Parts: sequence; structure tokens; C-alpha cells
Amino acid sequence: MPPSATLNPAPRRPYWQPRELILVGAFAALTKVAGVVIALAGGGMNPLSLALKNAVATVLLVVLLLKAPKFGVLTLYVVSQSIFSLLLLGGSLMLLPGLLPAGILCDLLIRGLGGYQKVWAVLVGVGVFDLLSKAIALGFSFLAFREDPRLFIMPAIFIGLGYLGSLLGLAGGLKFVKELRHAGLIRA
Amino acid sequence: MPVSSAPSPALLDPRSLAGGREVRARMLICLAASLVVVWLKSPLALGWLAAWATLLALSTTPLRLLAKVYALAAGLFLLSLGCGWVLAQWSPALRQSGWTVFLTPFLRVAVLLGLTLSVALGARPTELLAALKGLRLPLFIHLPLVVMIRLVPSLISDLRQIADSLRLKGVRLNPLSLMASPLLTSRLLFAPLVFRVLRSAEELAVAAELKGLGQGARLSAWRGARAGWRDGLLLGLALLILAGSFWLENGAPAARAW
Repeated sequence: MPPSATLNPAPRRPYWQPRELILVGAFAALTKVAGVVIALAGGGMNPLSLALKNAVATVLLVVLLLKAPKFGVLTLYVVSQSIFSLLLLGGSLMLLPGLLPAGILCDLLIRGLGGYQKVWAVLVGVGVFDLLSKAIALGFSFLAFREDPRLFIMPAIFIGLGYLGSLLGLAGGLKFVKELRHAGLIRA
Repeated sequence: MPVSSAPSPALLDPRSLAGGREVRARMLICLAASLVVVWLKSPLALGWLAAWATLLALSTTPLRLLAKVYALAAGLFLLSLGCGWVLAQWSPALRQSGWTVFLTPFLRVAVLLGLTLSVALGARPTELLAALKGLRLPLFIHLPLVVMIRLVPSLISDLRQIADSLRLKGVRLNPLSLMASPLLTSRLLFAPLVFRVLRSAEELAVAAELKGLGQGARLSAWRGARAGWRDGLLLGLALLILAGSFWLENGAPAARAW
């Protein structure tokens, strides 16, 4: 037996480090709080505050992906947010089976486009994820309003406005990432 | 050596040790209800569930707060009725459907609202954490959820401080300022918050790594997360109520009237 085998072997390093998990939780919490604050400051969920809420959520997601550049962070963020909403905020279980593949797909897309170190790859991944999540939300709204499909126009307008906000958030994210990079908080 | 998830001494107040409150059972009920309300269509069945959810919320939420939240929900319902009335001016078919067509989506929201209030406002963070621990989720899901629950109160406190500092500089945070300059207002509010969150996350990560978290050490719970007889009783009652809602949806004579 070689002498090294008698010593305690170094424990296998798990894929997820606490640093990344904590960052995911912190940004997920920030997104929830930001949504509530914007709704309150905007005097209710009017079209502008709705778009702004989505814009802020997208900016935060872009920052998270560049701060914790690892395959699966987007999926983990989606799963954490969904479970939190499911258990504590009355979210629907029906969204999770749609959001989970959307998160995995966008993680794969970012990796395929060159990885999490490239800002534009992250922006494309987040943009596609926002589009997919809004499509899933539309499907869920259709289920909720299926008694009279004509009423479906209301959630469709709101979700469309939300996606416009997300697109705005991609541009805002690019600008904010530059500031964070200048401050030395992001290395990408 | 197991890693302790014990909270700070400030959280060790006697009331939080009282425990119980069937948080896990309430979470499971939220989960089941989120599926059932999408399936149910009858206002009668949904109304039955909404009444039960309100009672459940009453058992944990202060009456005044509950009244405020329900008044807000009723206001939103009236708003949706108003929007529906505007839509009906262009759609004669919608006019014939009547106001009950708006009732079903509203009742779906009301059921989830009551159940959510019973969990979110009826449990302390330590109870929620113990309940989450009892769900035996893997660490990579458990840890972000714990951080979310722990950080929300401190984020709200941070936001208050930022809003105070903005007020000192003469920046007002109100619906008017948000409408007038949405990008500037949100930037002034959220840019400092992101910096604070990054710092808090860094400090938490250092503390977690110093405790050996993520190095294969097993987490130990500060409080027991065993399900009690009250959890079983509440889940049994929930099953009966849900069965009743299915009966109202399909079998009850009154269901045909809707």
C-alpha cells in the first residue's frame, strides 16, 4: 500500500460551492423584494411598474450569471424561485415543469455560445429564457381563463408588456455590468 | 462533524420555541391547492375552497392585516370588472356572459391568497427553516431557499435605509416620481442595493465555508422538524375539503345551476 493511501484523502469537492448557492439565493430574494417594492412605489401593478419590475428582474439575472459563471446557475435560480413561490407565495406547480426545461435549455445555449464569461452569450441566454418563461406564463394564463377565452386578452397584454420590460432589462443589464466591472465586482 | 444551522441568539425568543403551527402541512396544502384550483371551474367549488382558505388564514394572520389584504383583492376584482365592462362595449358576447365569468379567475386567486397568507404570515423564519429542513431537499436547493427566507427582512431594512438617504438628498420615492423618471428612480434605489447584496452574500459565504458547509459535512437542524399530530389533522381536514370541492364541481345538485 503506498504511504499516501494511509493519509486521509482529500474530500471530493462538490459541484456547487456555498458561495454560488448563497449568491443564487440572495439574488432570488432581491428579485422578489424588488418586484414588491416597484409594485408599491408605482401605486399598484400598472403597465409601467409591470415593465419596470421585469426589467429589474432581467438586470439582476444578468448580473447573477456573470457573478457566478457556472453551468446550471440559471436552472438553479429558476428552481429556487419556483419552489419559494410554490411554498410561500401561492405560486403554481404547473409552471415548474415548463420553467425547468427552459432553464436547462438556456444554460446549454449560454455554454454553446461561448460560456458565462462572454457578456453577449449571457444576454442571449437570458433573452431566450425571458421569452420562454413568458410563453409558459401565457399558457398558464390560458388555463386560468379558459372559461371565457376572450378574457385571455388581458393577461396576454400584461405578459407582453412584461416582455417589453425584459428587453429593456437586457439593455440595462449590459450597462450595469459595465459599472460592476469597473467597480471590480465582475470579472467577465 | 455536523454543521450547525443554529440561528443567532437574537432569534432565540421563547415564542419561536413554541413551535408547531403545522408549517409543513400548510406548505403541502398550498402545493396541492395550486394544482386543484386550475382544474376546478365551478364558482361554487372554488368559493367553498376560498372560504376554507380564509378560515385557515384567520387562524394565523391578524384580522386587521387580513382585512386589508382582502380589501385590496376585492379592489382588484372590481378593477377587473371595470376592465371587463370596457371590453364588453366592443364584445356583445362578453356582455351576455355576465359578471360571473370574472368570478372564477378571481376565486382561484382568492384561494391561493388565503393559503399563502396562512403560511407566509403565520410562521416565523425559524419555523419556516425547520419546515424546509424537514422536506429533506438537497443542499443545492435547500441553501438558496434558506438564504432567500433569511435575506428578505434584511433587504427590506436595507431598502428603508436607501430610501431615507435618498430623501435626505431631496429625491422623493412615490408613484409620481416613478412615473416621471422610472429608470432614474429604479437605478437610485436598486444600484446601491445590488452592491449591498453582493457584500452580504460574500460575508455569508465566508461564514458558511468557515463552518465547513459544502465540504461534505452533514447539516444538523437546530429545531426538530418532525410532523406532529396537528399536521396530520390539518392534512386530513384538507383532504376532506378538497374532496368536498370535487363533489361540488361534479356531483352536487347545486353545481348544475352554475
